Amino acid sequence: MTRRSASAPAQVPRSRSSRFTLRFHSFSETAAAIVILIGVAVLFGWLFDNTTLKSLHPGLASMKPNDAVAFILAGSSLWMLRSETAGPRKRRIARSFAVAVSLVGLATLAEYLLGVSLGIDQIFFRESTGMIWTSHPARMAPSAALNFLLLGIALFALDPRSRYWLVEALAVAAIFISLVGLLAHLYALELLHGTGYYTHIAFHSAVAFCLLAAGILCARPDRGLVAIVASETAGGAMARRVFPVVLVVPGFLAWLSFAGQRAGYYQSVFGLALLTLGNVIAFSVVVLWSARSLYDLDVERERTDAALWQNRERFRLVVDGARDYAIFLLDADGYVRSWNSGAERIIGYREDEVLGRHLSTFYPLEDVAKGKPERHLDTAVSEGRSEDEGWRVRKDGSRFWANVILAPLVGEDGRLSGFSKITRDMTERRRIEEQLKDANTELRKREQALQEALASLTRTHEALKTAQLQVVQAEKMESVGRLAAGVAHEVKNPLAVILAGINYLSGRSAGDETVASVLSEMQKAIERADQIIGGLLDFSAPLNLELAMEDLNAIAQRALLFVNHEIEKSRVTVVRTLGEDLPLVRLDKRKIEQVFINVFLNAIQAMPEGGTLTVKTYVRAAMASGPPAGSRGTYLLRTFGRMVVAEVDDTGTGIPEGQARKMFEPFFTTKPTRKGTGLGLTVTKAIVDMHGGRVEIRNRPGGGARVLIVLDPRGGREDAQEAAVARR
Amino acid sequence: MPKKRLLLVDDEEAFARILKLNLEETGSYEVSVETDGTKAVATARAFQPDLILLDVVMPDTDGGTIGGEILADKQLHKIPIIYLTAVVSRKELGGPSGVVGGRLFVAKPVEKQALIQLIEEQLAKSRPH
Repeated sequence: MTRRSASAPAQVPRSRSSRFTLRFHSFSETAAAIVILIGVAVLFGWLFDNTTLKSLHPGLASMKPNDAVAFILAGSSLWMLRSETAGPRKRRIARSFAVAVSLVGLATLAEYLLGVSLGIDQIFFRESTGMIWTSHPARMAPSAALNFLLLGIALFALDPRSRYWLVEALAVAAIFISLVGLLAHLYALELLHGTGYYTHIAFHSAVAFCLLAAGILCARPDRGLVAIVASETAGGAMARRVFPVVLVVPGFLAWLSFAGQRAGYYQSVFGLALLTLGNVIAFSVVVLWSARSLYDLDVERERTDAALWQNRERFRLVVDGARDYAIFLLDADGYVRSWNSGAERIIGYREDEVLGRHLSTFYPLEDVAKGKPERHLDTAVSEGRSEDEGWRVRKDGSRFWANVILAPLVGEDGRLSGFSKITRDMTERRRIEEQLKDANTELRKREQALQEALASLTRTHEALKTAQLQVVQAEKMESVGRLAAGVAHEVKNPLAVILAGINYLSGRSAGDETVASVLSEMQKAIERADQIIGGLLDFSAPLNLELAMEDLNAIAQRALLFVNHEIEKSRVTVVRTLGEDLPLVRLDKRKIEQVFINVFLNAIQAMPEGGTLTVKTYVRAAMASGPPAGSRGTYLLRTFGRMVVAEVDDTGTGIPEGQARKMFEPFFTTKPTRKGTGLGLTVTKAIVDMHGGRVEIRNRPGGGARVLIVLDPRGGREDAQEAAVARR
Repeated sequence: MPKKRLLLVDDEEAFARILKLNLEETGSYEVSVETDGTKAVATARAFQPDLILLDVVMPDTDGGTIGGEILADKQLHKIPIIYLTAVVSRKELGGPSGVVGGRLFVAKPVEKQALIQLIEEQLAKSRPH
């Protein structure tokens, strides 16, 4: 799991070292402090000639003043260097201390090797000759001198990282040298009693060296071998477990063995055997204990690995199984690093063809030119995710509509390690969506067409209804026509008889003026009757209008004359309110005359007990009141500004409620049977219609009925007949 | 100048009688009246008129049929016919008389002088030169 290399020995993952690193650091600090304290204490021992402080025990070698000073310097140097981030000034002082320590060691060694005295041994304090374990007064032991030389160099070389192996080697060497002194004290305290060639290293010097060397090693717990020991790896755990045993147990057993021998419990050979056995047992225990721990760790790791593998395999299966999703990984620069079967299926490349290709391979050229692939990567990085829909290109060059989700992958160190890319082929969905859209549009169009068809159908229905009404009306009119023709025929024959008779009598009455005038009047009456019958025939078989600009007032007056007999008979009073500035109206004089006659007769017949017949003519604006919107009449009325109106009021019984519309239907009559033909108003309406005008009948507020005849001064047209027929 | 012989066929007896009086009063015509349309052709053969005044609407037959029979008759087919009728109006004829479909119609009621003028015109046309 951890990647390491010789040139970078400190690459122990941070997470695996933190707990012990701190502990090692504080150990280093403590060690430095103790070393300084030991140095100071020994100096005091020399100052006050205190054997306990100098050598712990009168039978042991003392620590020399130079030792004490060198320990103070070395301890101080380590204290100052304990943090890697120490300032340059502090570092300079610490390094000069280290140089001083090395020089003391080197000088002392030189004294031993060259057999000279440099006069440095008794700079601080004098020592009498012949002191125990001391070859030269106040001169430190050669092993101590060597140690100071080594550790001084180690302290000097502690910071740059490049030659850290040297620091380790020096420190470890110093520890071994110190251990020799320590063990010597343990084993040979009595054996080596007396004066020797070399000055022996003091016990607390050996301890101080061990602390100092260990302190140096622990000052940089993230480097070299200490990093392994401090790590939370299996190796670290084992090292931390085994080291104390290795350092303590053999020495202790050896001491025990010697002690037994000295006490005479057993011979030296047996003691050796016991020592060996003890070592075997101790190390076996340590080995088994460590093995057990490692075994547990391994089992745990295997389990974790298996789970991890299973997870990864499961993930791989999921990714590979996702055949509808192209799932692949890109490196930080956008080059393909993995490829699933879905990607192969959708995009077409095999894994071995595509690995190492750039993301832009899958974009259309124009998008590549616009820098779209890079932009997507940038968006993914800046926003944590980038989703895009657009065209992508397959291996065979064909395009597909893709939904792409791009997500950045960030490593443990927080740096971008690549991207995951999930691509879906949405071509089919897009096609279906398009089709759906088209279908919707089509549907809407059809619906609209249907509505239009429906509207047209409704219109047709209305037209048909109208046509049907017209047919019914036409049938009625046809029957009216037949009847009119029959009536005309039957009436004309007697008229013919009378006229022939008058003609005969006229020839006989020569000379009698009175008879001649009577016969002449009779002949005129017959002609009039003939004209009326002709009018009836005209209505049943309408002919073209004989249009001319006429005075409506004059026509009304003439019509009143025609009905004078009826007026007198019914004792009806006539009131004329005829407009003076009435314009001439384009109309057929005879037909409009007939209209008036019909309307007057109708009014008179509504007043059998007498009453007032009011005839009023006037001009009014067309817009004031028009027929129902949409009719041709409206158009005409609107087009030509002024209308000429004739109003005929009676004081009769009025129109029964709800029957105003029926008044114009043929044979509709409110009069008692035989009193009317039921054709009067029908004929009236037909004639007015032919003139492009309109006729209305309604009850007056004060009682009686009012007939309104509205005519356009220019409205009558030669072909009005057609329009009139259509409107009937 | 011999009197012209006119045959008047009309079911309206009063009209026929008065018209006969009116025409004979001029002294120019001898008028025979037949009020039964079905006997019109037979009467015409017997009377041999110079002109026939023929009503159109009659019971049992009509002027059109009688006119057709007369035209088909070898003896009678050259005799001019004036159709006298109340069925057509003056308006339809464009005056008191008019030619419709090659036949001369006169609308009833008709002024005596107008009728005499028509009769004379027709007689003048049919008279051999």
